[in-house]
Amino acid sequence: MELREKISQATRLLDQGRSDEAIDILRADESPKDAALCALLARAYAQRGDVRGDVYTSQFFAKRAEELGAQAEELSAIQAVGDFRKERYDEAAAAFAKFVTEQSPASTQFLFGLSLVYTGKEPQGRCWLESAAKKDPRLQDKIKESVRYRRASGELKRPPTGNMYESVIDKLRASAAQEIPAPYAHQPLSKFRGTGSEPKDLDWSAKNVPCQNNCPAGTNIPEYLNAIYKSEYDRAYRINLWDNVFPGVLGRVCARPCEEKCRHGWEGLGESVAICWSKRSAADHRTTPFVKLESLFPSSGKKVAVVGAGVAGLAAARQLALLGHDVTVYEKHKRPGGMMNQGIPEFRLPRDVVDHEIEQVKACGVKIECGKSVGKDLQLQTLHDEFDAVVLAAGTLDPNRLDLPGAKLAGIHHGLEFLLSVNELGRTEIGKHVIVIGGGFTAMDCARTAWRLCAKSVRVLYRRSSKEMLITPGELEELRHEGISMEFMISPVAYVGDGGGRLRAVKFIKNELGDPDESGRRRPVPVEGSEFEVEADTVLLATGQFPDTVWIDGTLRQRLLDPEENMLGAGEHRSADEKIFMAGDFSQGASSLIRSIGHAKKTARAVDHFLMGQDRLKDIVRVEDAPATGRIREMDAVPLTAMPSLAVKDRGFKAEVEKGFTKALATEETQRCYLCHYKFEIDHDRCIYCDWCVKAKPRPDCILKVKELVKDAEGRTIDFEIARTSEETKFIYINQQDCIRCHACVQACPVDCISVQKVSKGTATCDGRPLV
Amino acid sequence: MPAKEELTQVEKDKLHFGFDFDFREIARRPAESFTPNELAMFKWTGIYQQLQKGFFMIRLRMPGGLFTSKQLVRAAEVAEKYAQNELCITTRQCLQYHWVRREDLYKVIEEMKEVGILTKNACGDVTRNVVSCPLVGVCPHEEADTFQMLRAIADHPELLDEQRNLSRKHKISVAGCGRACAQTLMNCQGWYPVTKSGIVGWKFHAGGGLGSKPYIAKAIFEWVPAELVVDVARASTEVYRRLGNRRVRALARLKIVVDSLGAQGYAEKVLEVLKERNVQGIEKIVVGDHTVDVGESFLDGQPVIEQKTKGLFVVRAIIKRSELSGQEARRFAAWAEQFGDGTLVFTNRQNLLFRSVPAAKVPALSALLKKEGYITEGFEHVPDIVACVGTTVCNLAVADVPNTYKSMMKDLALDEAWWRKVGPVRINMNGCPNSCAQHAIADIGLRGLRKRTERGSEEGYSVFIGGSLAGAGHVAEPVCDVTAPYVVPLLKKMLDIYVKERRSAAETFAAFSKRITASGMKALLGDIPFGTDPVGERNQDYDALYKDSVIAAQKKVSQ
Repeated sequence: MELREKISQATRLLDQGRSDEAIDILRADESPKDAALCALLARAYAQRGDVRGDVYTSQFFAKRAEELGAQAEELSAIQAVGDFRKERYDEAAAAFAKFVTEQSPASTQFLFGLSLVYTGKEPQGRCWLESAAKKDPRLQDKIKESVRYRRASGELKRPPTGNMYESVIDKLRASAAQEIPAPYAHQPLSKFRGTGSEPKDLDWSAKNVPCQNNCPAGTNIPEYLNAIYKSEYDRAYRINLWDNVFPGVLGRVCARPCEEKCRHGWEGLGESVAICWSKRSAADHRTTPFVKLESLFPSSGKKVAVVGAGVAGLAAARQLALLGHDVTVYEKHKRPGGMMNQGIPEFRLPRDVVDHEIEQVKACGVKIECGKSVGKDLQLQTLHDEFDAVVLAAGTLDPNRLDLPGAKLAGIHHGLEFLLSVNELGRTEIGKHVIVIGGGFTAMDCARTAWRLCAKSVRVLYRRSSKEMLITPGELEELRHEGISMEFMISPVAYVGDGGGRLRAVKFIKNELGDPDESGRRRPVPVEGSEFEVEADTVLLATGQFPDTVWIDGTLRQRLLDPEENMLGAGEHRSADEKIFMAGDFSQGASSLIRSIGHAKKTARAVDHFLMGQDRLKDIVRVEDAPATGRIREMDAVPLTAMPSLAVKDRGFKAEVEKGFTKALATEETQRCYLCHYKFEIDHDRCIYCDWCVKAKPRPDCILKVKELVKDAEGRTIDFEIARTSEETKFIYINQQDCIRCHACVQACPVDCISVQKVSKGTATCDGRPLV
Repeated sequence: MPAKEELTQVEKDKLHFGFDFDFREIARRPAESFTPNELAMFKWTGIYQQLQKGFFMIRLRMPGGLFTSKQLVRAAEVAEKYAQNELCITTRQCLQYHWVRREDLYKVIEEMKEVGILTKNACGDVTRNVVSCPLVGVCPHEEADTFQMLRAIADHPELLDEQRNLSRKHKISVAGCGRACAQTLMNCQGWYPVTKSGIVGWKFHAGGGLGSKPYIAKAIFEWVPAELVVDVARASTEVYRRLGNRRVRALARLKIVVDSLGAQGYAEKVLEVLKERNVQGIEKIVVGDHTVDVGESFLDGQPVIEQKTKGLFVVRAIIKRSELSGQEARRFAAWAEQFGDGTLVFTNRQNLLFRSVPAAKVPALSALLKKEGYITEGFEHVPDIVACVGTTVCNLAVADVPNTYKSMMKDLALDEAWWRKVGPVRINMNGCPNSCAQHAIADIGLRGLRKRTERGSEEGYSVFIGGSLAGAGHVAEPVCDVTAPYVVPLLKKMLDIYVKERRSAAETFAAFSKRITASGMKALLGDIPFGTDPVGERNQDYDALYKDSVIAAQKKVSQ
């Protein structure tokens, strides 16, 4: 930009009061040699504000402009005003005297008059003040107020504003007390140290620890990842065991909702931490093979029956046993485990892992009676009569059979039945050309199992796009490795027979995506005239399943079911009978293991409340002092660790495809965790607004100069207003949502006013005893 | 495996840009060709960017603060030509210029080099200017040839040319005796002579340092033979090069290394390097019990001091706000020739002194100084205030220190009867938590702070007392915070309390502070005069009027 253009643009901005922008245009890497430029810089700095040396700088440039031959009056005015602002009234009066006349504006005469009054030249000063007041009567009040002003004479007029070295937080830090309430209402947590359970405590954890918040079982993920990083595998396993009951299982086949929300996966921050695989490493490398959790409460004398020994039934049973109840689980299959044993293929989930973790559940006092089918071998009514409470965790065993023309043809199976058959018998008959219809966990397992049964071709066809699939991340890649084709946006419309009662082909139609349905996923809409046939002798339907309620007997049926034979209160924990509760898929429909476990844990709390007449557990956050997180910035740049896997040629029914992390790989991966459960907070009593942390910040919005925090009625911070000028800045605020826990601010702070605390969400007994 | 710590940006910059620049070429290059990091590496040549873009500060390295009149005349010429006719005396006995333009940097460097003064290593992660007692070479208490030892260390090629990639700055002090005048305990390396069995050797301290977290040095070796002092100084620098924290600038100083190793641990590390280097005679080094015991400063208010050569005197002058104009510097140079031996020393309290003035000429010089408006009384008393540049030109400051300094000089220092009654008290004030003006080791230290209030920003200070570099050393402790306009009433009240409460006139403010401690002082102060109308708040009411005034004047110009 030409100098002339710069000057005119900056002048325009200055006239609009946009001093900062004007300075940006005028500031050059070269020191200015032009009088007009220096004069304008002088004006810009004088106009900007009373911070960071602007007054001195404006005076410097005014002086320099004069030296370079600029007009004197403007520059005298800048120097005069600058001197006045700094209470250098002698110099101000001298500078004003150079140019103030009777024609000068009221404001200038006013400042000149005050300068004279303040330096003891009251008669002269009053003349100018009166002249100013005549020109602008609005100044009258200001003159009265200002003339009254005298420099401090030493007497105290207001209490001290506080001493940074005796800030409340300093005193608290020094205290040895375990439980200290937060000293200020504006603080994000209710406790400075100890445990809190107010809405803002749980809200902080929910917003700041997205992985834990998105885990249905509430697993303390950052804490166990950090434990793995420190090679504390036993501790990591135990944290998981407490929170999600089946760490070894989930470390292999979890749907990983946590990874979806991991801060590391946020835009611009790389890829999510491999939380699930890390979890498995804790199970793989722990030194204590068998872990028995201790009961939380003494025996209650209450008896609970659980129907179904799947993940939900077992999770509910273990929680109830830990709460001191006598729990018996009834399972119709020969082995407990539900989907873990009967659904998920062994090459993804070795059965010894499942069995071992079920043994750990039993060690908590849970009795499991297998081969006992409720509705057949014994009735629900009997359980209802003999137990204090019953939990129905019977899963979703009623397959969604597509009602298409040709549905009776031989060669059409439901995927779950197919998997059950393979898992129980070791193999099953299958054709040469297999089509799997669906896009969820079952579809993937069916396809990969069919491939292992030596089908010549396996194709998966799904009616929506890959974005809508509910599968474990990475499964599509494994499908590709195994040579299974995956086709999207295709719906079946009819089965085509060979004339002999057997399936020959399936007729499909192409879809396009329409508006979202009730699940939030975009609804597939058929494209007219796009039908086509795919040759197949076997179809595996992985199109969902529903809870089966036919086994519920007698009068209970009427009480528990709606006219369509669905459980009343589906999705909830309580049924229509006060003694009967529901857990997992049986209540909420087919979902994932982790959602079932999360649901079952809540069911257990509802049962406990029913049995004991009160809540005995509550969610809390535990706030601890922490000198540092132990992270270094280089950890951010570590790439996602790949899971070592079995070569495709070596894959079979039993051999586990994923080999798990070695200890070295587990360290490599877990160091990536941002440790979101650490809170960085500025002690505003002690901050000196030096801005060093602002200069050191790694992200644009992690440390902000804030005018105001916006809180809701319960004290949760819901927004903040950024300060536009330094005068507006009420405090410097670490915006936890954007903070990546890098420590740069702590290291930059010259007065140690940034505290680091670990905030762990967990469970406590209602009488305040923290658990785990 | 866990991620390895990479080189920090500073370390990368050091390797990428190197330590030396051709400032003639720098002057020719277009402004946009410089990256901020490249500009930052100018420090190794003593150059900092100023708060105001396009301008630079450049510092002259002067071991022991000693100048000849010829050198000072040249420094004055340079100030007049390139630096707004201003020179600033630093607490490390250097001179520095502000407002220098990039195209003039090489001229400053070359013109000063012609008279034997370098800017190299005046800033940067190197051994900085080696300091000494203000009376170096002439002090009646000097026990060895201090200046010769100081130059041997300062000019050693290893420290000057090779060890330029330390983790952070490295500061050395060489004193003439075991007193505190050379600030032994606040330097990375502190040396003073000690006679053992009739042989003069040197006691070695390490690990002192101020910054935002002050540390007092530890005694490392009780006695080092004179011939090994330079070797030990080099070895200690090498230990620092190896062990200094290169990742976290806040933890990068030698003080952290020494603090974590302890005196004995650090001594062992230095001995290891000496052995590695095959230095002969190290068995003569006496490690000792690491007791730190430095005597009180000899400088205690004397305006004129007789030198070790009888009949010759040092004559001192207080330089207000440590600023000299070119004309003043020329005048001082001329007086040094006329009255003394043609040398001057800039002191760690940012003043100057003339040396070797014969007794007969002392009254004339003193009278002349007084006549020209210099303060020649009140050294180490209220009028002798150390102050940094504050927000005026420094990027880090949060308080306008010069302005507060001015109030103090006007409202406290002019009352001679009062400050004489108060007696010796060293007041140092700093605009930010760094310690350029050494507030942490003063009798009274002021450290800038900025407090936001409902209506804007208030400039203020934290007030500390009880800093000392004598005995085992002590870091000043905080008493209270005060807004800028009320610093003067607070100091007045504090010192009046001292006068009233001291046990006798012999109990100095330093001794009094030690006795009552900071919290005792706070209790005695009672209500602290914060005042009702701090400048930042009140002036905001006038904001519109300022703008009106300036804009009216500006419009008039454009008409």
